[in-house]
Amino acid sequence: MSGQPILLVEDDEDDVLLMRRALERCGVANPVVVARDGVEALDCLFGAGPRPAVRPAVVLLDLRLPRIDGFEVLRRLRADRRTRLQPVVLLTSSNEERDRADGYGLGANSYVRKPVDFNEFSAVVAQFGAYWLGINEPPPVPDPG
Amino acid sequence: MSAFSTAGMMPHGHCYLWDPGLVRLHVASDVLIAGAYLSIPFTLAYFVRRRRDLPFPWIFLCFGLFITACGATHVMEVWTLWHPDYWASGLVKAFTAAVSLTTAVLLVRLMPKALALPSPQDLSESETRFRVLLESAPDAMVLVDGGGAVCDLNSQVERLFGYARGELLGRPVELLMPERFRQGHVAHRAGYFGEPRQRPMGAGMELFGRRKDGSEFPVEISLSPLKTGRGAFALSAVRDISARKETEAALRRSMADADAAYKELETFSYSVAHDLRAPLRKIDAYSQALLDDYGGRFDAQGTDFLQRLRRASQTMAQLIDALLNLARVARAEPRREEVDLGALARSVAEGLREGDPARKVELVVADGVMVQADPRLLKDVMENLLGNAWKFTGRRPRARIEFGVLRGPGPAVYFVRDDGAGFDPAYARRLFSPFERLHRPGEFPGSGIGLATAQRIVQRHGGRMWAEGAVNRGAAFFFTLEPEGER
Ligand code: HEM
Repeated sequence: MSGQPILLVEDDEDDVLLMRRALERCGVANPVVVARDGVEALDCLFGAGPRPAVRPAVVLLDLRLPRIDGFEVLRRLRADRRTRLQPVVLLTSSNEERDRADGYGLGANSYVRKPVDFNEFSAVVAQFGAYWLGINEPPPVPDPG
Repeated sequence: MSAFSTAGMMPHGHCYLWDPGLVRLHVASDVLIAGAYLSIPFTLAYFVRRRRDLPFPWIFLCFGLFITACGATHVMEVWTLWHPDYWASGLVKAFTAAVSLTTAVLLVRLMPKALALPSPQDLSESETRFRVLLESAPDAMVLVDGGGAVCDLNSQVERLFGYARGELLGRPVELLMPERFRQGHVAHRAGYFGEPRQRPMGAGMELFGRRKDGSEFPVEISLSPLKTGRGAFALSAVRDISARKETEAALRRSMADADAAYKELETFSYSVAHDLRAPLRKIDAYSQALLDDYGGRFDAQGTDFLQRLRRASQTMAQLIDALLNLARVARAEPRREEVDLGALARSVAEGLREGDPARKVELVVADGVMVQADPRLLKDVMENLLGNAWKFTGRRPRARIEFGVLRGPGPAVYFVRDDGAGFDPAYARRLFSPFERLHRPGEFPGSGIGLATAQRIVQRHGGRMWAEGAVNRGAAFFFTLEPEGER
């Protein structure tokens, strides 16, 4: 499993860096492919021109993205036979976003509401890592003093 | 036949000894009488035909018959001067007698009813009364006959429509409405006379009147049938409803405005949640990164500063979440289901106890308090109220928190009471403003948005929330879940 990439769809520089850190902390060794907006994400998943389609272990999908937003990316993934079963974890900033995604019935496999507490965030990442990437031992999360 | 034989009898002329003067006198008088009598029924018939509204027309028939019979007896008088047909003339008399008697009896029997008929003076008095009534009506009243012509109106009509009385009398009522309705209306009103009853006109339709100057205005019209001796009429009461329509439009506009404001608030709070949380997340994450990667290079104070930095960002995140929740609740449409408030209170209290097992708090919860309310929203209310009670009894070695219900004539009143720090009653109202805090920040933790949220939830259910308390004497929060008037 550790060879299969993770596709992180995220436009925020800091969030990319922090997600990488969280994954690292949890001992996820999979390569991380980053798409900066919805169009890049779709190009990556369906292939564009000479570049072949990437089949990631899991897509970590932010909802607010330039050009094509996360809702639309997910809708297109679910509408296509090739990507219908692709595991997708939505990264939401608020419960509202999650409510909206639920309302659309878009069929995300999981949601991560980005908590403000980075330690909590790492714990959540470890959880879905364990589930989607088969990491068996999340490293100990430092005690949030 | 032999019984009626007049054989051997003499013509009546013999009685007058055929004196030419006397015979002529009788013949002339009888003929004139008969002529006059026989003409009277024609005049009566003409009268009855023209005055369809006459009461008791049959009595005229009796009179007609009676006078015709009388006339016939006089004809017989002339006949018998030369022809002794005394049986025939007697029978005509007998018939006349019968008709006269019948008429006489019927006339006597009719008298009470005839006396009850209004005199012309009465009629003009009732006319006056009708006019007074018409004038005193607040609405513009138009009396219309079966042909659609205006027969009467009050001065409110003149004022409302701008016509003088004389310009309307005898004109079709359609003059008072916009052209586009006129043609159809002729049939409408004709239909009304087929089924006349008191009812609103065009119920559920937008009706318009038209002034003399051509301007239109919205109206409401009610119709009443009026049957008189002179035929069937319809009385229409026209009310100008421009003012009401304007108020309604203004209300709709301000509701749309409020809606737009809500939408804006929704977008705003969504952005707040999203955009304000993102930097906080980064502050926390980078602080943690500093601790993780450079922890060894900070001394105890440096580490402490970083921890404080993280706590501050988390407090702010909680504030944002509470504000967001308040905004959500303020626009929530409660879904009513049966909720066991007592059970809800118990489970919330259990959660509080688990979070702080060392506290000695006596919990008294009323059982069987069933309400129709939104369970998720009510959980928020109970969490806030019980959470507050828990918090403000924190300084008591032993505390008591009670949930219960007061049942009286009005809606049931639910309450959460504690014996904690309480508050100054002068500030009872301010408790419910977001961010209001009556205690010093360090004294008790919390944001102060919770009570505002709880009150908003209760209001969304149609109820209200209020507080009673005294400094160091504890606090009690009361709420209802339905409007005061109901039940
Ligand atoms: C007393 C006489 C009147 C009678 C018997 C009468 C009767 C009716 C009837 C039967 C209707 C059809 C709707 C329904 O059945 O409720 C109607 C419609 C209407 N009437 Fe009258 N009406 C009278 C006077 C007036 C007056 C004075 C006005 C104007 C100020 C007026 C304006 C209208 C209008 C605008 C409509 C709607 C027509 C349409 O939408 O096609 N009516 N009327």
